[in-house]
Amino acid sequence: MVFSSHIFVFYFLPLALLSYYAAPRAMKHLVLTLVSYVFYGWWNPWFTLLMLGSTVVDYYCGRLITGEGASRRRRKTGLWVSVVVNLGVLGFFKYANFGAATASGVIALFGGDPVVVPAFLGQVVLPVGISFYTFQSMSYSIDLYRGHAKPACGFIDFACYVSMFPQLVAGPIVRYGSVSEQLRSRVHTVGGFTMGLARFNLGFAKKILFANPMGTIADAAFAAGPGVLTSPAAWFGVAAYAFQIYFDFSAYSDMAIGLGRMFGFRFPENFNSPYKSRSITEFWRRWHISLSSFLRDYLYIPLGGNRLGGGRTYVNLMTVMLIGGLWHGASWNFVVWGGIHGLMLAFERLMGRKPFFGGLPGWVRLVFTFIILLITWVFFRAENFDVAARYLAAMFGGGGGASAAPLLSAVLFTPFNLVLFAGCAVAAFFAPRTVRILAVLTPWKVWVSIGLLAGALAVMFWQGFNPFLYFQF
Amino acid sequence: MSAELPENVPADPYHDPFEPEEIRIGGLAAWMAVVAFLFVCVAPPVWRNVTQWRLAVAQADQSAGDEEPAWVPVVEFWKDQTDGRFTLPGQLREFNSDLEDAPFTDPPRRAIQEFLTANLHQGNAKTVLGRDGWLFFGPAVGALTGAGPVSAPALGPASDPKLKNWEPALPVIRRYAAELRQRGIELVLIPVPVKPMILPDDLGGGTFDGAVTHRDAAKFRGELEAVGVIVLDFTDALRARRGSGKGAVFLRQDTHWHPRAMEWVAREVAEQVKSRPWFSESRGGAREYNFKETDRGSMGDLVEKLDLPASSGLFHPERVPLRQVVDSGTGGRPQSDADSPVVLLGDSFVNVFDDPKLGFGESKSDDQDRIGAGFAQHLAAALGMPVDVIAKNGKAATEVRQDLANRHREDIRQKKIVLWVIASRDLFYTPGPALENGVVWKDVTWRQSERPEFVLPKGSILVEATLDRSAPYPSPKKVNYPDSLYQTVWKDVKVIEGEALPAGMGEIVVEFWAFRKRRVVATGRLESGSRYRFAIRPKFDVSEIESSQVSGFDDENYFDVFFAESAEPVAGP
Repeated sequence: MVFSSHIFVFYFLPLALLSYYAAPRAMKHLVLTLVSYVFYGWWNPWFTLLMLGSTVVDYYCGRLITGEGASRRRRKTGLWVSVVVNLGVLGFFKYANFGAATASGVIALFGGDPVVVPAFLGQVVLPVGISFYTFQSMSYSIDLYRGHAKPACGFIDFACYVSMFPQLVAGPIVRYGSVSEQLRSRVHTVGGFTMGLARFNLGFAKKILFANPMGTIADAAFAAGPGVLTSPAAWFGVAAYAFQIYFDFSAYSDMAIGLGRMFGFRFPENFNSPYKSRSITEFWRRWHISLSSFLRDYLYIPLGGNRLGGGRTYVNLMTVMLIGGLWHGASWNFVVWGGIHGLMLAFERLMGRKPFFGGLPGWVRLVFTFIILLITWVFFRAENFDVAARYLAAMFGGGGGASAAPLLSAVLFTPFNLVLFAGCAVAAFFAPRTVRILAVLTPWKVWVSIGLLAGALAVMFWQGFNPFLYFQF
Repeated sequence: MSAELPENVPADPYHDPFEPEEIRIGGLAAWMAVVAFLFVCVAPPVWRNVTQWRLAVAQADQSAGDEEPAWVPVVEFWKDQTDGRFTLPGQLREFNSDLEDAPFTDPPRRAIQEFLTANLHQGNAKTVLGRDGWLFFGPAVGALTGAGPVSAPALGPASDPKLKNWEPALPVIRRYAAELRQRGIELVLIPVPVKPMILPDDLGGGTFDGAVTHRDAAKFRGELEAVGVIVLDFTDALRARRGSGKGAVFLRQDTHWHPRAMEWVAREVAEQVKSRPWFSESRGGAREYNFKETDRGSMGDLVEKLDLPASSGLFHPERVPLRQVVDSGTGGRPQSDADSPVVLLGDSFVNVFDDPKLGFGESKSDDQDRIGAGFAQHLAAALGMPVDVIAKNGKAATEVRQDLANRHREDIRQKKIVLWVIASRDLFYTPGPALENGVVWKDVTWRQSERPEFVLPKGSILVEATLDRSAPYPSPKKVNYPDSLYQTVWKDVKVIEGEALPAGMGEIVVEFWAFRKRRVVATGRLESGSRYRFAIRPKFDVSEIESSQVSGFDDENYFDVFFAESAEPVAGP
């Protein structure tokens, strides 16, 4: 189920809220867990077993780690079982076919026979949001091992944390340590609920009014055949994709944070106007904050971070970004995307705090950064390298020529698309963050948000079904 | 690109405390906002369930006729799916899909479309607005600008698994040509250029010296011709015809060609057929045809796809001169002749100006006579003999070929040529758009029996039977044509009135209307496991459905199929 769907808004959300608030205090986590399983099972009820399995393993690993008088060996065993099981599940569902295809390719280079993949692997469907909840669930064992969190009060509390539907399938990745206290005790107020609904409404409007129309432009541009894409159309298409992915993902985060608030939780922010960044380093402080900090704390720092000398720091940076790319999808495109970001981070680090381009006006650095991001988004969006290469060639003048090229331009550069594109650009580069807009919650802001929700619902009827981009990761 | 961070970007954003906030809203105002929020979420489904419940009660009291059947979501969720099984994922999918089509979504959607069309010159996914009132079919533009079947991108890991089994047109057509050749039949492919190919200037985006073609078109044609398929491509000729001022080539508000252009193509195709050596020897069925001039109007399928409010005055019907073909012998429209050596396979480009469901009929009624001014009738007139016509709207890729393959070998043996008229967009779709538009390229299953195993009784038979399973059909709001049939399989069949069914026919396959005018009708909601009484007729006897789309079973092909107009529930077996 997705937040911007009829079934969620009209049935699931009201029923979930009703059952949660009707339940006695002691039952609230159980109710929230059950509705979250319904939410997740909407795609495929069988996948709830997977989530349940992951939850059981991590819960008992947590008990192994924190059991009274647990030996170091026992604690390590608990940690490793958790990590291996979670990464194993993720690896099987997400990377098995990719691994086999890659291995076949490499073997074929040396004249060998391709790897024979068992037939059932071809039928494996990627469970929605698996990358998110396995990371989240795993963070529990790691946080307990490190002593950064107290163990869950009971299995239901932990199951509630893992399955909590607001941020279950597309983040923010809420680490156990940041909600453990809220699971023990939190306050429900009508003011907090109102803040939550206002945040949800703004996120909903962002998704429907900004992200989806930009997706239509990007889809048309990236579907173009050889020679059809002119340079202006290619830049327009990838910029539309940049806006789509930002507004789509940040809208999801707004809705998740808003929904969490309705249930009494506060989740960390996940975005901080990333396209206002003046460097790639800054971008990664502003973009998908919960993932970048997760990778930093659970990968970069354990690898040694910047404590083992310059050369090792760059290797660590690249490793983290390559894995971060692969986390997004089992495709070499994502690896390249992560690789370019890793190189840029390394380059900026090498330049130090006073780089030769540091004297350039801020807006020039912002534009340069955005152009680099657009180039990397091509790899992120394209189905494969061929399409990415063709698209990049078109961006830099190597496209057009096909007789159908002007038709694509006619479809892309319509008044409607241009107006919305300009709206997205203004919102991305100049508007304050949603959290700042709602920093002081006044009645008129709440009513405007409800009006936006009603308007966005009407537009949703016109648009049809548009899932969130990050669900596929 | 300095690595220095502005003050508002913390170096460790994750471990920052939550953003400060201040809630300046009183208790009463907050409660009112909560109520308003819940009202926005709850009112539409509550209103729908209540109105549908009342409709269900009203329909239980009296026969509802063709009225859309009541469908109370919270009740229907617990019933079996169309395929006769109750599986939770299936129930959820069906419930979700139905909710997306809920009637309460119609008024706001239409109002938004009207606003966008009037003020921002914006169409929707199906209809693209061009210059000077010219409308274009969105998927056709997409097929023309897309990667195409030859250089289609490989599917990514997150692609829809259904796409992985999708097959492009080229290899399927080549195999089909070989199968026909084995049977002594020549294949002539006639890809009909779509509107943006011939009239790109009216879409905008630049000036064009000639017709726009897909990048793969020449290669595609070359590969077919290399295996002996004749490809009659009229793209350049129609573009030249448009430039020479010989008349319109396409309709302004409709996907299809102008009748004059269509008639010209029919004559050109007929000339090709006449040049075949066997043609003069097969003139036994020669007929004489006359023409009757008339004038008809239609709003056009592209306006219908915009789905504007009924009161909208943004578009007006487009009138065209039609030339109806009259069989001198019968005084009526030329009929399809299963004995003709000339088979015409086609889609809506063949059916337009003949099938009133595509517009240009005498009235808006569902039950009106065919127009008789379509491609098939003009082809027959130009040939001077009847042709064997199998044409289904939007289904020329596979279904029409399968209908021909369903014939007995004895019937196939007399065929000499298959003229296959198909919108060229169907040839150039990449997998995603192809599936969205219901275009599937599959090999056909040829009937092996020499003569009919069963002689299906003529006329109507009243039967009672239990519904075993139904083929799934797409959402009426998402398909290109407003009407569709679907196949159902019935067991425990008992004849109540009429001729007995052939012995050995354990179960029967019956096609019912799933939806008409984009509304699911009563026969589209038959419940698996329930028993019904209905009157069946062999499908080939029912001319009014011959061009309609049918949703069938993915992996099953049925040779003997019936049609029934309505079904009455009866008590158990």
